[in-house]
Amino acid sequence: MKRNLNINVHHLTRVEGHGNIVVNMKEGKLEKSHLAIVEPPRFFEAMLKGRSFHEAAVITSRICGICSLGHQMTSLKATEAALGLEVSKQTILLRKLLTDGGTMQSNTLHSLFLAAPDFVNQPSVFAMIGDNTETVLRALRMKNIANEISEVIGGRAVHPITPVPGGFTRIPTVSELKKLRKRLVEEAIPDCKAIVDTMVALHDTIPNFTRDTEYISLQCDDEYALYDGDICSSDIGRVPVNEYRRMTNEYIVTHSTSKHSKANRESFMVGALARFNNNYSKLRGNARNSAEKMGLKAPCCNPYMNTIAQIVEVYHCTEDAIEIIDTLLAKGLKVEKPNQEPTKHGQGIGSTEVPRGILYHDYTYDRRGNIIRANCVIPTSQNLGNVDDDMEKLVPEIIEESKESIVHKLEMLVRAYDPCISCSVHLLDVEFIE
Amino acid sequence: MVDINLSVVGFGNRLYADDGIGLVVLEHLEKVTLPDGVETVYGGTDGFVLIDLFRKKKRVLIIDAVKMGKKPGDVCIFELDADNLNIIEDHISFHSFGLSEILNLTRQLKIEPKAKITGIEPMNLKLGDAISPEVEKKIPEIVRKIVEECKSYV
Repeated sequence: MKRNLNINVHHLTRVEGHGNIVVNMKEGKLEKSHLAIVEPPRFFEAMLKGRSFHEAAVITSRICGICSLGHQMTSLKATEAALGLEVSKQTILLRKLLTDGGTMQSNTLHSLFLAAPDFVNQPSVFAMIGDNTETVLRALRMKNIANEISEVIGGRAVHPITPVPGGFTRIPTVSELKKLRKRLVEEAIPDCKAIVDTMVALHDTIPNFTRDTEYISLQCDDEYALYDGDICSSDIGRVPVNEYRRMTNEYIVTHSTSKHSKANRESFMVGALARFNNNYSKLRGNARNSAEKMGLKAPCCNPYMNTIAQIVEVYHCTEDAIEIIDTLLAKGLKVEKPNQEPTKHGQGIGSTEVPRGILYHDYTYDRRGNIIRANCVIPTSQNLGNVDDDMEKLVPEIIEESKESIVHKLEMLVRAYDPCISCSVHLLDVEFIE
Repeated sequence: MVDINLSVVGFGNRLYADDGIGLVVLEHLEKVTLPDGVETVYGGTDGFVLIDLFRKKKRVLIIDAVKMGKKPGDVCIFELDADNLNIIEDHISFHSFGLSEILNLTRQLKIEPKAKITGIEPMNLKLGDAISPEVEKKIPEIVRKIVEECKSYV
């Protein structure tokens, strides 16, 4: 059908920040299909210049209200790499526990509050509550448990204060960890099972769309990599984190105030689905079983399944958190002072998996421990090129459908990426040009 | 242990100048003697903190920058109810899940929030980690008003 189509979704809802979806098809030929990012830049990198190593993580954790913890962890790792600050095994375990909590809350809220309304064709989570009160309460409980992890380990539910360069200023007590473990076992695990059942029931509403994609995430030998690892591309395998620039190659496009990235193709995907595809064998047993139950198998090239991969990760992180607590309790908690005596200065690069994908912080410090140069590469900006490429393949495939249905599928696609636009701008609305 | 009668929750982003005033005032409140049964809670940019407090049927006093068309640093304590919800939805918020969304959610979940808002008129909501001098000089007065408010709950 030689159709003319003009879509312009101005300021797409249920994503973090501002972006427009613009699609323009003339006589059946796709002229334009992209996600335009219109959020103003905030220049965090410039704000870091001249700041001491004590301040870097405090500032960068404010890049995002949703994944402040991920920015904090990545920032601490970059600072420690630059200044030669070794951290203890206990510090790493406590940080992994915090990372599990951060992933649990962000993935749960995105899949159930922001993405799920698309599955049942509702405008927002508020319209869904009526028959789904229990699901909403489960999501809130998961968020509450994750906040408790942050409070017990990080000293505060929001913007943790005890994680500092070189370690922690306070170590949790045995009774705090035991109480946390009890909640994870008695509340979070049953909630994970119930959330999986909810998603199984919604599975048929996920569009059947696939596009062969390069997936990039962290990877390590002994676990499902979230806190640390090498960069892994589904196309070329592992690359050290220090070579992140050749795996991001940031460039500027005219339709976005956020940079785009490419690695070994024109675009690539990061986030829960990338992690799932690259690290499937390292998932904990019940998480892997839940994936199968929800119809997700690796490798999966359907970007809409990112939401399902997020739920799988919630299950994984809950089980992982329990095991970390068991390890900490078995080893016994040691009172340690953070190691804040720099042994060198210069460049340091930190990378962690935050809920939306792989994040890089790259700092250069002077001999006084102040930042000379900083670069942060955010998951959403890495995903933007891939969203555009998905839209370019998707629109011709669904062109026979009603405009309403096309808009719905485009919005749902963008939301599946769980974009965090404020962070990436350094842009969502759908614009059909007819 | 004294039962908590009132949770005083500060919201804001310290990197958006006066948007961080709720957090700065919270820090000041942590240094003064508050009546027994009053706790301070760091809300940051996470409105979900409120849902947990509302579900526990706690009385809540929110401190946040609110655009009310008054002079910078002017403070106004008002009930959180449907009549003034429009004011709340109008104020510039950089929070991930705004106050109006949280209130909408609590209502749908049939949780009755018992809350007041201490609105502080901001002057500058641009990037920057310093509070405007015009707002900063009013902090002692704001703290005094909040302490008085806390006493009325005990």
